Order: sequence, then structure tokens, then C-alpha cells
Amino acid sequence: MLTANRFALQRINHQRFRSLIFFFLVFIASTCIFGTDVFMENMESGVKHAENKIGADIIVVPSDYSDDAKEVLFEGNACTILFQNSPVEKIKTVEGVKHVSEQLYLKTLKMDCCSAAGVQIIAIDIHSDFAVGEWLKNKGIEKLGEDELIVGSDCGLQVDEKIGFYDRIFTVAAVLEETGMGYDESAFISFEAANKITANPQYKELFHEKTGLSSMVLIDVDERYETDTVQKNIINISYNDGVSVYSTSRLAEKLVRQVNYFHCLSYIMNAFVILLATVALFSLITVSFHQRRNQVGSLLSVGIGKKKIMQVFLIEYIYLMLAGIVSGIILTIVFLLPLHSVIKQTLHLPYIFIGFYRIAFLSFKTIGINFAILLLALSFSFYQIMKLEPAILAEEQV
Amino acid sequence: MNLKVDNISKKFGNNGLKEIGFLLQQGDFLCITGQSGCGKTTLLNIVSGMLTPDTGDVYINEKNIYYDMKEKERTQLRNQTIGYMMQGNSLIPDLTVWQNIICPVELVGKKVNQKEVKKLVKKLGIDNVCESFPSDISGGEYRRVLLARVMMLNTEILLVDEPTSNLDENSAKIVREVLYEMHKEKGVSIIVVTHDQEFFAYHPKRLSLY
Repeated sequence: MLTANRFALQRINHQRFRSLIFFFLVFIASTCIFGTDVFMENMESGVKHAENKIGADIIVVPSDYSDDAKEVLFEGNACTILFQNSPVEKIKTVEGVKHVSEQLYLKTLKMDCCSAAGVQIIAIDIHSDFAVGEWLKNKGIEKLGEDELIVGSDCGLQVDEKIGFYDRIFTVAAVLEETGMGYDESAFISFEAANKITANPQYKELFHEKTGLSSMVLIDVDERYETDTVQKNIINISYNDGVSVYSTSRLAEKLVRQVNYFHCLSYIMNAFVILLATVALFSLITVSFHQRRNQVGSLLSVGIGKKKIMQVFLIEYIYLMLAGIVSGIILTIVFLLPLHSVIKQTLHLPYIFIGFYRIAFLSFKTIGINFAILLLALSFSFYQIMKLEPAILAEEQV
Repeated sequence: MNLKVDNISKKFGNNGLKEIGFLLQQGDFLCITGQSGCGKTTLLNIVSGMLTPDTGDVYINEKNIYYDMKEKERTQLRNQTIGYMMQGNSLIPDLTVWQNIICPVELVGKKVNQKEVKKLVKKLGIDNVCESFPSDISGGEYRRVLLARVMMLNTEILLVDEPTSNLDENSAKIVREVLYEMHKEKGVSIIVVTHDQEFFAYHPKRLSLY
């Protein structure tokens, strides 16, 4: 039985070159539209997640290490940060401070026989930490032993695996979910374990055999107070202590600006791609319709209605378009997913996978844009053709 | 089934049809002749509902096809009542000969009788090219495929434009015989635009355009 569907498939098969050109146009347009969307949303999601994951409203770091702190938090560049004197006790007295938590950042040493090098170690107090501590409590982990650690999602370690830092062997107790920030390449230990490291005479030059060191103070502000006011109060009280006080949103401001810059670029690129695809598909469909107008006339001459003819054309382009879109989406996913970690490290920006629901939404968005272009081009071409009389379409002598 | 053409005029370029009229009754065989460019094909286009005349009317069973029918109905008319075999290259190049023949029937949702189609293509001598594409067949075969396609519709009126032009004598004879058979055995009313003098041996009604 010769149905509109079979007719359309046969046209695709018989006009392979034209079909391939159409397929590639849609494929390229879909890859660009979907690819930039996924990339941008991964980045936006990364920044949003990073702000939430830090959990604190205000962060206090040693002035000399301000840039290091931003890098370690958002970009995952390992470094050692140390306060000369921890301001934590002073900060606790400031009005509006609800919770205070300390973290110690240590960069592991060069690799030797039993140590991993260049990894960021973060010592946390599991009971007071807003970021990782909260997450661990949710997972039912109440205690972190001296020889246990938690690793970020990009460390490539599994639970119960062993790894050595500073001549100590740790067992992986848990793997942190992806945060899109520096935490993903970090390992978390308890302050007890950190004290053992810093007090070790072997590392006297680095830590002077001291214990109770800290790198960063995370502050949760009481809801009744403005973060800016509390921040000012902390600055006033620790004026001479050589500390920098940041609100988390301020710290992420540069990132937001960078992401906005990328966003702007992606909008321009997307607009350009959509414009290009529209012009290309419009031209291709219009030329193709014009070339086949005598076929339209021929079908009309034997009593095939306009609706049926339109159906044949529509099915033909829908098949080609779906093939192009699906291939574009699959290629983007196949390319972006395995390279997720590489992109994250290259970008030096928070970057987190948006999840399959969002991927599905963006796929539908790509399909929607392409189909809108198709319908527009088909309607225009069909109108141009169908306003002519059948005899003129059939190019009979009139 | 009566077809009445009443005072049709249509201007095209420097030429034109001027006040043409005739009546075709059930079982008539009409040959239209005339010099090139006198409007023979235009007349068939107008009669088939494919080209609106400047003035005049076309009636099928007292119904004016341009004023009482919408375009959709005129399209249906060409599928159910008036079969029209055009002169030009109007086969679909992406379909095989077989598919071209059955497409006017099957694309509107009806089923063809395979045996009937096989019999028809054999009679027209195109059974050996059924799986070929139109670009791969000869001019003579092409015209016979066009005829087969319109014959598949089993309409009461058949309009045929230059069915034997550029055909070798054998192919032309086959085409003429098939048309005579349709006229005699099925009682189909036929209008043939032709320069082929052989048709006049059949003693048709004649209309000469100048």
C-alpha cells in the first residue's frame, strides 16, 4: 500500500544528497543549540550549587590568602592556608553571628613512596561544619575517625580504598556528591587527624609542630540580622588581625560575572546558529518546493488533495529533522559527559552536571526550536506554491 | 454524465481561447485539433478544473465547477469523475512506475486491485518497466505510464492530451486501441487533444481550434 509515510520515505531514499544536506543542517544546528544550552546550564548550576554548598553567609580568611581561598573554593587549585592567629573566638562574640565553623586547608606534599601529591586536604569539624558536616549527617555519618577521610566526587576513589597523605594512611569513609566546586577534588579529614599531621616533627618547617591551626572561618548569620551589618561588625572587631571578610555572594560575584559573560556569548552564538539554520532551512525547503512544484501540480491533476501533499512533505522533513536532532543531541551527550571532568578543570569555574531531567527538557527545547523553524519554512513554501493554480504548477502550457 | 463548456475565454500571452463551447454527453468521443499555441491544452486545463477561465463556465451535470465548487471539490472531481492525462513530464521521479500508477488511488486511501493493474500494464506493454523509475524508461513508455495512471481512476470522463505524440507507430497503436476499448466497453466519455490523424478513422466528434 502506498501511504503518505511510504511515499515520504521513498523520497528521502531517492533524493539522498538533498536528504543528507538537510540532515546535516539540522544536526549542526541541534548540536550547537543543545550543546551551548547544556554547557551554560552546567556552569550556572555549578555557581548556584557552589554558593549553596558553602552554606555560610560570611567567610573569613587570612588577608594574604584571599585569592588562594577563592581558587581553592571554586576552582579546585590546591593550596595551604594558615591564620597567624585564628579570629574564631573574637568572631563568636559578634552580634548576629549564629554559628561558626572552622576549616583547615592543607596541600599535600610531593609524591613519595606512600603519599599522594597535590591534593587539597580540608580538615573539618563534623559537628559544626555547615557544608560537608551537614551532608555527612544527612548520610548518617556521625563521626570521622583519625584514619578516615571523605573524598570529593572527582578524586577517583571509592569507599574503603586506602590513600596516604603526610605519611599517614587513610581509609575512604564516604564519597561526597558532586558540588561543581573545589570540594570535588579535595579530601576531608577530622581536626584530630589534622592535628596529628601539623604536630609531626617531620613537618616542623611547615607547621612548627603546632596544633589547632585553621585556614578559614565560616559564619552563619542569624536571620534577624543583615549579612552586610554582621560583616561590617566582624571587620571592625578584627581590624588588626590581617583577615579578609567576605560575604559568600560577594565571593561568588566574580564567578557570576564570568558565567554571565559566557552566557552572553552563548546567547549570541545561539541566536546566530538559529538565524543561520532558519535561513538555510528556509532556502533549502523553498528551493526544494520550487523544484518539485510540477510534482505538486501532477499530484493535484490526479486528484490528490493539498492536505495529503502537505502531509507527504511534512512527514519527509519530520523524519530528516528528527534524525538530525536526535543525532545532534546524542553526539553532544556522548561528547560532553565523558569530558565533564576535563571541562570542569579547564574552565576553572564551578561546573556541575545538570541531571537527566534537565537534559530531557533541553532536548525538547531543541526539538521545539527546530520544529518551529520547519513549520515556518514549510508553511511559507506551501503557501507560495499553493496560491498558484494547479495547471501553472504542473507547468503545462497555459 | 454531461459535460457542458459554455463560452470559455482565456487569454495567455498574445494567444488565447475565445468563446469556446461544446457539449459532451455520456459515451462521446471528442477529438480536439488545432495548430500549436491555439489553446488546446488550456482548454483541457479549464475543463479539468485546473485553470480558471477569464469568462465562461464549465458544467458537470448542470453544476458549475468554478462557481458551485470549492477548489477541494474540484480536486476530488479529478480523482472521481474527470481523469486527466497531462502532456508534460508529470510522473513522480521518486516513485517507481508501479507506484506512480497506483498513487492516485492509494494515496486517497483506496485499495487497488493488483490483478487489474497487472492486466492494464500488460495491455499497455509496460509490464517490464514496473520496477523502474521514470527517469529510466523511454518516452513512449513514459506516455503509456501516464495513461495507465489516469486509467486507474476509472472515471466517467477522460481528458487526454497528445497521447500518441512522439510515440513509435506500435506504441501509438497500443494507446489508441486502449482508448477505443475504454470508450466502447466501459462507455467512458473521452476528449483527446491530438494531431494524430489515425484517431479520425474512429469517427469521433471533432472540434478544431484556430
